[in-house]
Amino acid sequence: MRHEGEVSDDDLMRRTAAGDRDAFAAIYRKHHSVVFRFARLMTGSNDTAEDIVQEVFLGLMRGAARYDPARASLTTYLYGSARHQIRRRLLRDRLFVSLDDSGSDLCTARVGGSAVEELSREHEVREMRRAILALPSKYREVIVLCDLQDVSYADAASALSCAIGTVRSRLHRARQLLTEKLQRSRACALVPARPTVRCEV
Amino acid sequence: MSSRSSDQALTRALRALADAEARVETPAHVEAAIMAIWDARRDRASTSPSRRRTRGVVRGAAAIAAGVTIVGSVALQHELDTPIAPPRSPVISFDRATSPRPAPAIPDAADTRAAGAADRHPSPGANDARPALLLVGDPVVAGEIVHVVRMRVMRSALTELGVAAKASTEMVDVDVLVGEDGVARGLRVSL
Repeated sequence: MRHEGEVSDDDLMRRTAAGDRDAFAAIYRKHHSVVFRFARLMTGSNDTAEDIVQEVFLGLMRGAARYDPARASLTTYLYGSARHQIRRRLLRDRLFVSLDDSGSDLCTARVGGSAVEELSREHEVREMRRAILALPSKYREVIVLCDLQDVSYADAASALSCAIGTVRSRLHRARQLLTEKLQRSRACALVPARPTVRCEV
Repeated sequence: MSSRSSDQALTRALRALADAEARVETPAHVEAAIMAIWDARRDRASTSPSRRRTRGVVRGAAAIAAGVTIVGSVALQHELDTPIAPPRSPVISFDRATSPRPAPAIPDAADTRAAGAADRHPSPGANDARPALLLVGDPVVAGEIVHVVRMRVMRSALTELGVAAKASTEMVDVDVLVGEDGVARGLRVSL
């Protein structure tokens, strides 16, 4: 019996197109995490990310026969599909205003270390997440792909349908914007809060 | 803060976020939902040969029914477009003793339509009796559209109107001419 990890994506896609349920399940288990994390970081919402994962894999299910491995790897194809769904979703959700001031329903996973370190790390992660969500979409996606998901520039360019040079320049600009946002955020945090004084009338 | 230290801080923060995100997994219910959709799609796609045959028969029957409907519609349209043939001149029997009004002339157009409609249906006793038109209401004016309503009435009811219907049974079929206002204009009965 062959191990699931030994089977190439191309082979799994061929079997999926032929109606092999196990092959489709194997593709899902192999790739769902990257799609989910990408969607989560791009939208800042777990619920939206779940919807996008579902849309992406339903699209893969329907279009498995049309997948051409010569054009792009399956991961790149999934990133491209997820990006398309995310853009549609963000465009639609732009019509609505979130009532939640924090703007995010994401929670940070707990890691080891002292409580102070953990709080500091959580704060840092939260600030970074907020700064990334505040970036324009075209900068956000390169940061998420290249800096957070370790996708190569070539694959990112393929997924974003642009040149590698464009990915590099956007990444450079995105990092500049992030640095500025983080510095502003820290400067705001250093300003002491105004003391509250009770007024006597 | 220098540019170098800013870059380092940014890299460190990005690394922390990447580490935090690396532990995030898609909830299990998403996979369950997707695989349920897969199963539903496959169930629909993989129908048995007998079911396929049945589906083919149903499609064939639907196609035949559609064809019959189209041909029928064309034939009906053709029939409606065909002008109604002028009626045979009816024999008008008017009994002054039983009717309060004088017998007016039967208008051409109205009677054409009414009689044409009546001719499409076999008139009561048309083969073995002489049809007669008895006017019972206002005269039919030129151009008025009248409808023919076939009724079955007691022979005694006709006798009261002075009409001796030629029928062996107690019930007699009568064509009633009804004007546009819903009031009867005349009766056609076999004498």
